[in-house]
Amino acid sequence: MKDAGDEQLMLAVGRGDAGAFSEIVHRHQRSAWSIAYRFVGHAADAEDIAQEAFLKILSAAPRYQPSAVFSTYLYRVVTRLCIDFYRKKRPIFTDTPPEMADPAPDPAAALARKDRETTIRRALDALPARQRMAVILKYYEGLGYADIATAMDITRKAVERLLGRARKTLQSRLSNAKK
Amino acid sequence: MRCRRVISHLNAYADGELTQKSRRTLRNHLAGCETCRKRLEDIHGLEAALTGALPVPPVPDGFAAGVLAAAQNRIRPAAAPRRALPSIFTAGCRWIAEISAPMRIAACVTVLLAVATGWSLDGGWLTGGRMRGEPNENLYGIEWFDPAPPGSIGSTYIAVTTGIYEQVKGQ
Repeated sequence: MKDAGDEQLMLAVGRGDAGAFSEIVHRHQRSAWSIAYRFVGHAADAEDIAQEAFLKILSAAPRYQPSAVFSTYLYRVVTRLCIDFYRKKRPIFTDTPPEMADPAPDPAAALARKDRETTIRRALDALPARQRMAVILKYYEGLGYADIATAMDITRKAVERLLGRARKTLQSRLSNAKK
Repeated sequence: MRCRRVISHLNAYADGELTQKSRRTLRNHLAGCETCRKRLEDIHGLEAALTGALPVPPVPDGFAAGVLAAAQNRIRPAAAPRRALPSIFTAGCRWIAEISAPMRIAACVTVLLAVATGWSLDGGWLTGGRMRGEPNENLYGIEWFDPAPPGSIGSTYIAVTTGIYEQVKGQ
């Protein structure tokens, strides 16, 4: 089971293999969680979205066709859920970035880092849903235009346009924040 | 290449998404255009600002267990695939199941009669083999104006049913 590829596991899930589904969840929970968390900025909502993504994948497993890499399929499901969540709920940014182990022992550096994180978080939250998702997939998941296009079900040109507009907005907000 | 055209492709250039030819064209323009170089630096600067600036906490404890618990009722082993019966067979079975009992009996009798008729046409024992391969010497004879001329399905049907009747009567 542990040596099987994601696509093989998904086919097994489609046949009702609970062990295969468990392996899928363990392998990809980090990806689903991080995209959702970066998108909504709120742990409880991110957990709900990530959990729902796996349940949707499970429901669709009998119809799964390994026509693309599984991770791209996962991105697509998580992306759709995040954008639907945004449309329904319009998440409110919480001021407190997550408490993480701080590599910089210097308190001033730690404070500067936290300020920067808060500023970036606010700037991202100001973006429309699709621009925000494009930025997350590009800058934080390292996807190319083709994979972002597949995940968001848009064209490569549309990805380029979304990133162009997002960058303009972010640059403006970040430079205003510095002043 | 004009700046306006370069700017529209600068994002794709910064992201490494252009073809080799386009990259070369833009590189040549950037070598001589400070404005476009500045724009490209801004794009790279933004990337540096964003990277690592949005940390994600670890996946919550028990996340996977929660997913599996929620999925428990949804995972059902797939039933062994049943061999599909030919559709005409299933349609026939469904038709027989839906019609009334007297109709079923009438259908069976009709089928039996048809089989017996065909068998007799082929020279079965009821007609004594008279029909098999016998040339009709009286093709232009008066019998052919009969409603059931010799050798026809009608005459065979009459012979069969008469034969059955004589047998039953004889019992």
